[in-house]
Amino acid sequence: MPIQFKCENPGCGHRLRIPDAAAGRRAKCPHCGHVQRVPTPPVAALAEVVRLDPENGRRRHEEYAALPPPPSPVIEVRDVTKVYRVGSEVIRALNGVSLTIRRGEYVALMGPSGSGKSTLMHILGCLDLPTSGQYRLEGEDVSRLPQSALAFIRCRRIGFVFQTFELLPRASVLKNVTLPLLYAQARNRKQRSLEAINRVGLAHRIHHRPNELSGGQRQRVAIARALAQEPSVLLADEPTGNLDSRTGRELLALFGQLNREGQTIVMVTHDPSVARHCRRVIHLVDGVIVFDEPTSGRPED
Amino acid sequence: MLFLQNLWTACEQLWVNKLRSLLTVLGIIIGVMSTLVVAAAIEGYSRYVTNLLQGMGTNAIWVFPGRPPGSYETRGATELTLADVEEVDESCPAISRTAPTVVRDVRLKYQEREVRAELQGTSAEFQYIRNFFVNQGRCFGPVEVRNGQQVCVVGREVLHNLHADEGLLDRHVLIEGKRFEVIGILEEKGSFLGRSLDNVVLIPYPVALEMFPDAVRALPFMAEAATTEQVLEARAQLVSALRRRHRLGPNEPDDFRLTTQDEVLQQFNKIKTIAAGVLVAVVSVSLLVGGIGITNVMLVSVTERTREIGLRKALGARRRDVLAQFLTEAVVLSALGGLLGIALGYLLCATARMHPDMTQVTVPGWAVGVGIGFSIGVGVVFGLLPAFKAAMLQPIDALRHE
Repeated sequence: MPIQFKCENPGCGHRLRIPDAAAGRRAKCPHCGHVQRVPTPPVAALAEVVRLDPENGRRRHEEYAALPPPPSPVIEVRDVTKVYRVGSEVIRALNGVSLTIRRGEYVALMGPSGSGKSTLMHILGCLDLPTSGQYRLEGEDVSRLPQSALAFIRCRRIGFVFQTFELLPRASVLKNVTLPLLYAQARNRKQRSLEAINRVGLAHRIHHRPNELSGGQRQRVAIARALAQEPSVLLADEPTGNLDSRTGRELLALFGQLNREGQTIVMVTHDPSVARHCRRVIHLVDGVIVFDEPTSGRPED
Repeated sequence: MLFLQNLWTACEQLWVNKLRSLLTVLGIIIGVMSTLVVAAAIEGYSRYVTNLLQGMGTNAIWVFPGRPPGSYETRGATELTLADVEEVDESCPAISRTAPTVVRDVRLKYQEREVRAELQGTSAEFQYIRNFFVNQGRCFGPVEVRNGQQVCVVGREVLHNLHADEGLLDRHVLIEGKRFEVIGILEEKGSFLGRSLDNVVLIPYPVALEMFPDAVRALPFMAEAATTEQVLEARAQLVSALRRRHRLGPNEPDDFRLTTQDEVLQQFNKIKTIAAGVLVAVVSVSLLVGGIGITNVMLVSVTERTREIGLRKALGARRRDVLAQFLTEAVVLSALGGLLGIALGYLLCATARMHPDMTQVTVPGWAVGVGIGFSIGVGVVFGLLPAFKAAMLQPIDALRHE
């Protein structure tokens, strides 16, 4: 279903119809040429579909038919396995995982260590290939692509945020954020980087080096770097793991805001209080999904 | 754009690891420096030889007495005489001039000073054959030569050693106790292999023969071919004239020795080839050592920066991007070595030039080109292995690396 909206240029107001695959990306008004972000239609996320009946506390499914069709899937994983061989020992890190993540979702990937959540994350991020099964990213099968094609997908469609930030220590904030655009050979690199830095609220720090920033600010730079390429999905691996709880909460607020702006987010965490900020929780144990449910609602502040 | 970024990162790495980088490129520095120095030496040497040969007279042929050993009994004491010189002068059409040259080391005295100088008993033709002219006063003429007048022409070095200036003209000096009038002063010629060519005094050859009678029967002389093309012809005519005069049979060896400029040049070229061989050996060894140093330090760098490589790959760097990055670093490193080597080479040559005998030492342009080219080549060749290692890293393994 196409997205309809009015051009935000006050003198124009032209009605644009944009395919919903472009939600959250930028579009040019054919009437006045103004470039703007395509608004994401209010997502009828699964959390809102499956409601609890206030009278008897049971789940209500009647609203399904009344809702608009769900947004297109970003990630479709079918029966994915990943087998490592360490010496003579065979380790099944993933043992038949299937899941679908749709545009605009905010998913927490949880599980004890060794449960395969990092392996799944690497496969979702095209850093690794599954041993068997299929992985479709935005409808395209990427589970059998060569290295160079995977690299291309990583810099165009996937934004990574790591636990330890992983910024280049000797490069400025701006340079760090521009790096993936450089590999993607994108145009308007500076403008796009500045926009991304703006979105994480660090516009006053673009020429600082990572060691001149606090931990929270560094992670914001990493998020800006992931956002600069306007990725289909933002993959965050324990993004608050190295931060104190207050900074962590600020960062989660940022993730929440990005999600409300339409950004699909998948976050690996083992902290239930972090997972509560997400709108859907997937629990992995021993390479199998044991739990996949929407969260109860807004986390208590 | 990515290339500029790579270049920037490479310079950054260089700067961060200043000492390590410097030690690494030492081999390259030495290699390029020795290329420059040896090339400059060869170049200077060639110019020097060219100048020298021009100074000796471009078409000159030197003839020395040179009997095969053991022929004294059969041929008597006379080896080469004034008559031989005259015969050559008359019978060889390709030879335009001849001049006997009696060369002896003599003591020269003026007022209370006594110096040693090289005496050349010759004729006025000397100036034209040797290309070595009197520029103050005049040279002795044919009449003074025929009459054996005691006149002399001195070189600048002699003047300098005597602490005299051009006021020495028309004064008298004592050569081996004989009184000579100074009638001319030679122009400055410079030095060869540390020996000044200006420490010379010319007198008419009859006087010299009188002073050194042993030279009468063994008289060396110079001859000049009419043109450069005729040198070989002149040489052949000279040989046949002398052999005829000496009545040498067809199977008998020459009883004199001949030297032309070509032969001198061949001698010099032989030395030049040896020097070039040494250059190639030194340069290849030090470039090999330097190259291995670069491989080593780049391997260390790749290991140190495994996480960075993992990150770059996660952000979308392809294998070839990582390869290009580390190759750029290796090339920047070795090119820096090349530049330092060139700078040091220039410095060394400039220092060498301060010595009066090495003024001809100049760094030829091709040596600079070769230096830069080789250092970049070494960077590419020896940077390939570490860069390849970096490029082939698996992103997740690299990201997990501690």
